[in-house]
Amino acid sequence: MSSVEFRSVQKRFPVGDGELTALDGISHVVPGDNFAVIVGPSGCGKSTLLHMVAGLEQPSAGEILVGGQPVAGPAPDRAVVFQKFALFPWKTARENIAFGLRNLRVPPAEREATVHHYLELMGLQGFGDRFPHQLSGGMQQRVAIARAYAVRPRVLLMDEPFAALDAQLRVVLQENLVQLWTREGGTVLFITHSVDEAVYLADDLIVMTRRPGRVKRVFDLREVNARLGWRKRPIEDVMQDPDYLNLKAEVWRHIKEELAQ
Amino acid sequence: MNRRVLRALPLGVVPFLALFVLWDLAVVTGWAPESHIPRPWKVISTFFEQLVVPFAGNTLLVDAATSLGRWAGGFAIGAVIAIPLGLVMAWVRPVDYVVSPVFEVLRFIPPLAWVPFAILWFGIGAPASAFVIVTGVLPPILINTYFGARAVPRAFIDAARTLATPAHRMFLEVLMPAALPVIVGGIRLGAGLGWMSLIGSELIAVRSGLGYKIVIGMQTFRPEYVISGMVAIGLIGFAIDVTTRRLEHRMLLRLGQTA
Repeated sequence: MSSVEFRSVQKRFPVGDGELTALDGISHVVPGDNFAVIVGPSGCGKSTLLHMVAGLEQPSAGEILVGGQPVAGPAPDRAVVFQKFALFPWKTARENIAFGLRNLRVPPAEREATVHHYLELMGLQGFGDRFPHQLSGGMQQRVAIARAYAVRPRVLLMDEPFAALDAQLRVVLQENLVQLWTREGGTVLFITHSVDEAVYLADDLIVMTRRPGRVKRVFDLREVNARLGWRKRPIEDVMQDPDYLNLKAEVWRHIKEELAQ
Repeated sequence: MNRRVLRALPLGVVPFLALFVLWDLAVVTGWAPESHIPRPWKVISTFFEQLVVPFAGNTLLVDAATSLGRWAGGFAIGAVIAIPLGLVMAWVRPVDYVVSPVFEVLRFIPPLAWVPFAILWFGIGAPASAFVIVTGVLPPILINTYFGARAVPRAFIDAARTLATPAHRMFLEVLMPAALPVIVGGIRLGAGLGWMSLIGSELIAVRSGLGYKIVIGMQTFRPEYVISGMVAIGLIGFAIDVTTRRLEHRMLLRLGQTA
């Protein structure tokens, strides 16, 4: 429903007595209800881009529109899942998920129901009263995803959410996320440096250049995805698919060009 | 944990026994004059005797209670000043710029050096002693509160901001719990330093308490009273540390900060 539109977005940071251009001339529209993945070499400013959509940072020039409205500061319609989870360690899984709902003054009964719903969806039944440090890394990130989804964001922002997890867990969580998204819908903006992850998850795959980050190439995978039904199939199956492998190789070539320069 | 303590206990007792034996030998052989150092058993008997028989006006228990009461009062005043001040310094830049330089100089003046000033200002009595305790309690609590509050991970604040957290909840449910582990560490340090400063102040600034007791012991040439007073000070200080450490541990567990 809510599109994300970047209009000539630029971000500069003061460095010593000069300036560093982290992002330059980013113009792109992610249509509503699309799963958009931004992939690029580290330091290309992709996290900064996501933080600007979240309203945690402001563009130095240009503007970002979500659902046609310019972004003005952080708000729960653009919930974020952070790389290091950012769960509140002093709150249980349940309290973490309920936190945003309390801020939005959702009545207790409805709040309870929502928390219960997401605990179940994320396979966290029976873990609601555990503190984050009593949960594995994978479970912590599930709680973080549930916390973000619970406030019903129009756009879900995910900042390398699985980067801190091991490769096996990562695959499980990717499948999990796809199931959740298929069910709950909404627009997702997902940042990663993993080409595998990007190709598996994306409708809209945006490859970025190294710093200053620009849009290097956009792949529209909606058609391929619909035809081959990747996201409906188990990931190990998709990984054998020749179309998937070709696409991965092509994306990887683009990234490699950036790394080599 | 408890079993480990039990196993470590016999080893911990060894140095005390060795000390007692060497000490007693030194006195018995005449190497140390008994007028200056009593035999260990005499210190122990004096310690227990004082529990019921007053010396320097009060029994040991009454003086210990007096000292503890002063410590608690000074500690409370110090904490009530240091915690809000530390938070404000951490989160309000101008306050930081104004207070920090003054504090950076003041904190190097040891509590004992404040005693003469305290007496000039407040005269002999409880307020002078309370003032000195505050000078001991305040710096560690202030420093830890300041750094604890400044070191709240960015990610917690960002997460809270994207979840529409109102100001009061941001303070009570995000910033405070995030800063608390470090603040509590400062409270533990402050409690111990406050106790030591208190005894220092009691040597001069007041007419009761454990510090006063050992000064009278010195003036009346009764070393067994001096040493038994010192033992009481050490034991209570140890008890304060164990208690605050336990509170700290429990609080860290509650805040999910220990695995």
